[in-house]
Amino acid sequence: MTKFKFGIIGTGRIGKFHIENLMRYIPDVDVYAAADVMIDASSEWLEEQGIKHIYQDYTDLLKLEDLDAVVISTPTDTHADIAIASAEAGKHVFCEKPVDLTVERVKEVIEVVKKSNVKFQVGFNRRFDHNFRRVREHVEKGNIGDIHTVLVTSRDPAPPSIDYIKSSGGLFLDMMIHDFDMVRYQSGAEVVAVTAHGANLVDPAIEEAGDIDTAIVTLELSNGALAMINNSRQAVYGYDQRVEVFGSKGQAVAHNDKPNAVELYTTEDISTDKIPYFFLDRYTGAFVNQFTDFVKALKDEIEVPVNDVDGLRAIEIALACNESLKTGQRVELKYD
Amino acid sequence: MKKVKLAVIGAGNVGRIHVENIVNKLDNAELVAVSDFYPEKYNEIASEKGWPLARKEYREILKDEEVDAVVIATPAALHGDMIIESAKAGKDVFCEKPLDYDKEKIVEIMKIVEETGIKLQIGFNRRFDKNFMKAKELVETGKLGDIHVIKITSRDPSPPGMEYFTAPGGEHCSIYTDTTIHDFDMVRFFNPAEVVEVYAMGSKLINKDVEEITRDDTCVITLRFEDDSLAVIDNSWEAVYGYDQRSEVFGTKGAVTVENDVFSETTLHATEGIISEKPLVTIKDRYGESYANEIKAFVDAIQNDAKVPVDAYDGLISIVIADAARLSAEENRPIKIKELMPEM
Repeated sequence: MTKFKFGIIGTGRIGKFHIENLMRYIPDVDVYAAADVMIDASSEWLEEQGIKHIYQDYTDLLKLEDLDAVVISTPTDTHADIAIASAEAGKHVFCEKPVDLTVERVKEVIEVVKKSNVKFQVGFNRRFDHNFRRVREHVEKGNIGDIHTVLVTSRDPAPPSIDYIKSSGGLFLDMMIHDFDMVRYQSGAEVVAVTAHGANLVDPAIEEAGDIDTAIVTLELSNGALAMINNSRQAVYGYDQRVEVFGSKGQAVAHNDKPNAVELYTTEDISTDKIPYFFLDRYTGAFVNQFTDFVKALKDEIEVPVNDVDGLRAIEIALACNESLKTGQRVELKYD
Repeated sequence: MKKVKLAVIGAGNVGRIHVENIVNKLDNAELVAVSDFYPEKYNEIASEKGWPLARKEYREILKDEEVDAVVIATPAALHGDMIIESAKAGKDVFCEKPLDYDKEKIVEIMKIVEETGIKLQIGFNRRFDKNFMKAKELVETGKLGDIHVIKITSRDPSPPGMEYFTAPGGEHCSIYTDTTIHDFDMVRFFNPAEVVEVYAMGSKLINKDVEEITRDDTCVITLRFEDDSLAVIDNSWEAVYGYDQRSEVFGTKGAVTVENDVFSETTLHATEGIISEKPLVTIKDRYGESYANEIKAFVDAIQNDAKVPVDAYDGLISIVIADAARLSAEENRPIKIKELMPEM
């Protein structure tokens, strides 16, 4: 069959990573075009990859008639505009999270996507991680019975720059957003209430920038189950990513991946190596898997596994957490 | 040094663990008397094992000058008055948790303990578990730096029976006062800072279809300390795979995690997969040694006239936090501890 022609909009760190993964691991995709406002910074690299159509203005990329889909990996505040333009141009969309920091704009995107009849997948890659996918399989197969509790621990090895934090929308929109999606993915339920507890324990500069660096959120789910997410911006021992789903018949626990399976025994103790430090290392498989499933959806004309509405729900939960943090109270979520 | 002469009041499941430990594992103490309102079951076991037989009347024990200290392991509703009587009789007291469900009563107990000068230790045995003691050592030796987040998972293998709710004093019983109470003490054990706020989220999931049971059987509780650090506890009354007791302390320099003790370290590698043993199920199996350790520490404190390692204040705070958690779950709002602290 002919390959799907993809255009990558935003060729910074993540964009380049997507291009590499698509070229190496997704045979049904031809990385046909790329666009970036600072295209000079990456044009040489893009040409070396064999990408023929390179633009500074993404609207020019959208004019390519053969183009089937776009991957949006630009700064967050441009996602909605580019997504809308892409959908209106009849291109399927893979959009990095978050779709936008406001409910209004995400709903706009959903409207346009519906009218344009294109597929829209959000880059919540952790659903595609081999560990978390396997936990969900156990849940789906009934191995843990009725879900009672979902626990997510998610800690970064180090905080991002203060400049980044200032425009990120805060910890819940930037970091915990993955975990909100994870809770929905594992439970198959919606979040009906949240209570957020935040603290500034890692770096006073983060507090000065108006954000928190440590948080525990407890969530009530529409199926009666309980969930908990705890985040920290700094785990010195590595990128700590664990998920547990506990139920009436048992529990499924995903521990951290290890870089290797080697143990060292000495007079002191038994030791193994630290957890992978950088999210691109930890989630390489997931980044690839999400494209495999996106392409399958295009090919078989089925639903994408995580779509614009999933993107909206995660934002709604994050905003409710922002409110809970401000008021110090439980916040209920209402969905239309 | 002279052995401390102990009496065990209440020879049920927990009382018998104490009896066995004192007889077999403690060389600084001697078991001189046992009492229970219904001594038949205990006496059957005691005659086989050569333990002292139980009498019905505990007050005889309190009058006995030979007895130095008592271990109270009766039903919770009886604890408060028994502690007071024992204190007035001049006996040092080790009392199973909770000291009482009523925090005002605990304040009264604390006053009498101070007046009479006796030692009172509360049975928060998990502080004496070798796993949690090692975790605490890592915290104290600075391996974790400043504590940021404490995370505890504490699940029982099966829920209490209906008699738990219908017995006298049953209206006070809840997952917060009976199960989480250990975890409220453990977070304070790991981080000695005071707890200032509690938020509890509870649900009835195990007994979902049982109309007679109205109380929560599953909960997730968040706590904030005065140093701004956080803790989260998740409980369930039914982990079908065993007694799930895991803790984690996370800080600036690292984290310590404690996994479950299991039946054995044997693993089967087969075509079906890699199969290992489940967590231990009974309190005796999982925590038996910690029961011996805590009594030993109690006896050491008596012999050396030192402070007991976990006292009435720890007992009081755990009930205040439990009350706050119960209120929080009922009213769906965070509760500040100072709202519920009694007048001291």
